[in-house]
Amino acid sequence: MNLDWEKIKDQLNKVSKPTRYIGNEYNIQIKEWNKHDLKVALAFPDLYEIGQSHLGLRILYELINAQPDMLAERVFTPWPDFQKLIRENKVRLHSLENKQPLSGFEVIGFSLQYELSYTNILTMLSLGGIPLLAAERTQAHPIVIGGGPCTFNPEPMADFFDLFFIGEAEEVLLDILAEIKAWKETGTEKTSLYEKLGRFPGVYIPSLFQVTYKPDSQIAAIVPESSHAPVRAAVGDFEKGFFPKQWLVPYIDIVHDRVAYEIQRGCSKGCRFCQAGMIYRPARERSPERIIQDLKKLLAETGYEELSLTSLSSADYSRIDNLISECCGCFTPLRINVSLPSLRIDSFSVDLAAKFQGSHKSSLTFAPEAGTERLRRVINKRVTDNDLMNAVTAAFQAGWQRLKLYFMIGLPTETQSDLEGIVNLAGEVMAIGKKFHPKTKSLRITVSVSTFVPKAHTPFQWRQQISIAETAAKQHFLQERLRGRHLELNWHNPYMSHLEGVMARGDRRIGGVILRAWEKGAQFDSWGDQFNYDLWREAFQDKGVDPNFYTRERSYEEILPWWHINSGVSIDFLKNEDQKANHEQTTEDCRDFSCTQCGVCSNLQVNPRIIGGDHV
Amino acid sequence: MFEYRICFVKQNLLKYLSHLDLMKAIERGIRRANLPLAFSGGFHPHPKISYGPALAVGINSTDEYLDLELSRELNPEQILELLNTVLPDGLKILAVKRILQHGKPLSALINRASYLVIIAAPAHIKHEVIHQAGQLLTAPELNVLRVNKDGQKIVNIRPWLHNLTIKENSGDVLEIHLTGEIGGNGNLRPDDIINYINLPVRIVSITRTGLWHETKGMVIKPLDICEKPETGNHD
Repeated sequence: MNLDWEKIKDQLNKVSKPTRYIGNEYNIQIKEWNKHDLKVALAFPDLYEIGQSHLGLRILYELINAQPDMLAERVFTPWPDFQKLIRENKVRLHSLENKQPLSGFEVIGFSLQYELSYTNILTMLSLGGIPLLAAERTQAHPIVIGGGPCTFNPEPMADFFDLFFIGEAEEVLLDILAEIKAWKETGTEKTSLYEKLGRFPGVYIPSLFQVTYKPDSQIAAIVPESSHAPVRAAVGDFEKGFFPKQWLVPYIDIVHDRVAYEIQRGCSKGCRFCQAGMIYRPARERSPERIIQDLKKLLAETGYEELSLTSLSSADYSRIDNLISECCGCFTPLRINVSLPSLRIDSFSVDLAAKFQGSHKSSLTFAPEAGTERLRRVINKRVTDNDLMNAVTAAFQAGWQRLKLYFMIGLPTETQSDLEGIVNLAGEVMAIGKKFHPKTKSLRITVSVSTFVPKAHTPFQWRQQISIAETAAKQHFLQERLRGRHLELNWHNPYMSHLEGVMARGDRRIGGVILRAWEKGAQFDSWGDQFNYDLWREAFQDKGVDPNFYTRERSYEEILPWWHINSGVSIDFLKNEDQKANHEQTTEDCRDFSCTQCGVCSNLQVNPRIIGGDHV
Repeated sequence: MFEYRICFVKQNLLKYLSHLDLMKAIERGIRRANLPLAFSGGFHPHPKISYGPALAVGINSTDEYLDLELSRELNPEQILELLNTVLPDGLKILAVKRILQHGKPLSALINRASYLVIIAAPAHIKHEVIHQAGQLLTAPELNVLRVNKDGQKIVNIRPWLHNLTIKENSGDVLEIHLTGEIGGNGNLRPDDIINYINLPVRIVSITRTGLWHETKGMVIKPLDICEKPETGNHD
């Protein structure tokens, strides 16, 4: 066992929730440290409870550990009290398995899930004893790789990473790691590794691209030093795709504390604001036979009391009705709860929920996203007010008393009447609720309002993001009107959304701002009690960067920071969708109608896999 | 229904599990072992598992208890074996006994606990530590400040301390053995006692070494009560 760990392992009473740091979970995979040639740290830049809930981490953990010559260990961002403990004891940030410091691994893979976790990456590198800038690291240091949705515009983090992996890693990751292992044995400089890796799908080596700027601050050119253009990797055979068998069972209550089975990947509904809906195309379903077979083993193996059938839009899975019936048949008698993470706005979905929630009706969530049908056409959310009222009526009628409604403010073309639409819808939903549950005290409508943040590789990537002041004004409007005994309104911190927007569409100059803010103490920026915008304001000033430059509207002619990254979705499709938004024209789902010419299937050589039919 | 009383160990890194973490780890272990767990009725059925007094985070125990209800009869040795193959390192079942007659729940039954506290004291203060610890038993009152949600108050913990012995080990290590009250009538906390020693000592580890039921001067292990129910307590 590592001596550093010996120094602190009996002092964990000094920190909150010490179970975050002990490892030792059921199904942990601890391989002998010195016997493996390639050691990978899977680093998640947030607390254990968040990171351990992430399916991607579980997939890569088991995939790598299944290799005889490799091992993978987990590391999460420790809370400030644990950071203090290890600093005071001169102990480096270490993995949960062999308690080895980050600097002892050959590869560190960070998951970039949301922009406000970027500063935590710097915290982890620093606590792990690793130079922050890729340029300061030699071949003796670990290779630092970033993956996850934020790599579709990783430019703000480009200075800190040796390479990014863009897209779905399951089918190519092991080949990439094998190349790194072979290169480590040669002891040559990183450039010789880069030459080999550039050929793999998904690989993007930021140091091989030079970005120049025009006097007006816009990008003049992004010039590659080699011929390799980064293209998103996609899993071709999702049916046979890798899924964890030795599901790790945490002790502490993690955010998603259940067996989460991925029943399909990708969503082709085409909501124009949604990045996930663009970057995980096409929709690919797993067969019900494999799902049930895997679930039976996973639940017996873990002892979990809940399972979830996850995907971006599980109600769209062709045989969802049968699948849920079968799951309830297998697992309800074993007192295992079945759940779906997302519902469509229709009575079909309410019926599904009734099936698995049975007599225990907690709450149902619907996401109309916008307050009026007009604005919903703009964002291509093809749901009418009538659909919503039907779904809500079905829910109240079936016995639910608590509903959650998700909306966004600041969507393109939004006017005051769209905000009023949110108020009106909430009122109508409340009226239906009172009709079905006139006497109850537990009737509750929760309205959650987030701020629209334009994301790279979506039809709205050129759009303006509303300012902090506009956000606050719109929130105030809703706060004044959405009040009442059974009504609850939630909203997002406008400063956080603003910062998220700057990073989401930022270029490499934002890297300096992130470093500066981190030096001033910024970390855990997505945590309300840790976030401090003053540090960021100062960092922007110090670096002479105007954040509003990044939230402004962009023209089709401008070179966007992520222009050299090929997501598979064609630019023409994105432009066309953006223009259709102005005309309030919708686009159908290719699952139900004909191909929408988004380009993914031909560009990435993958096919949608829709099982179809409604009998198993 | 078939009830069993289980004695188990919670140690090593799992000493950091909160009571809630422990309950989940045990329930999932029981599910992995495929034991026919009984559930309560109603809208929110919960597994019929009940525990003895909660252990503070960071304290080991070599003598913890839980009562478990199954819907099918299993042989106690079989339960022990099935559970030990699926429990994580740090949780281990020591003994299982069938509860033949209903008595008090563990939380009401257990009222005595013993602890072993290992402390490190530099050589030059070691004797003073032994002296001060020895005086705690003869002190008429031991007042400590307890802080909780409602504020703070002074509590006299002396009545809860029943016995204390101290043993010198090699190097700078001292072993303090404590016995005292636990449960509804008072709760002896080992760290309260150590904090009373006004010298720079460091707690190396704390282990709960025993739990008992004391009644009318008799001290009985919880496992010995399953088969000898108290008279007048038949349900």
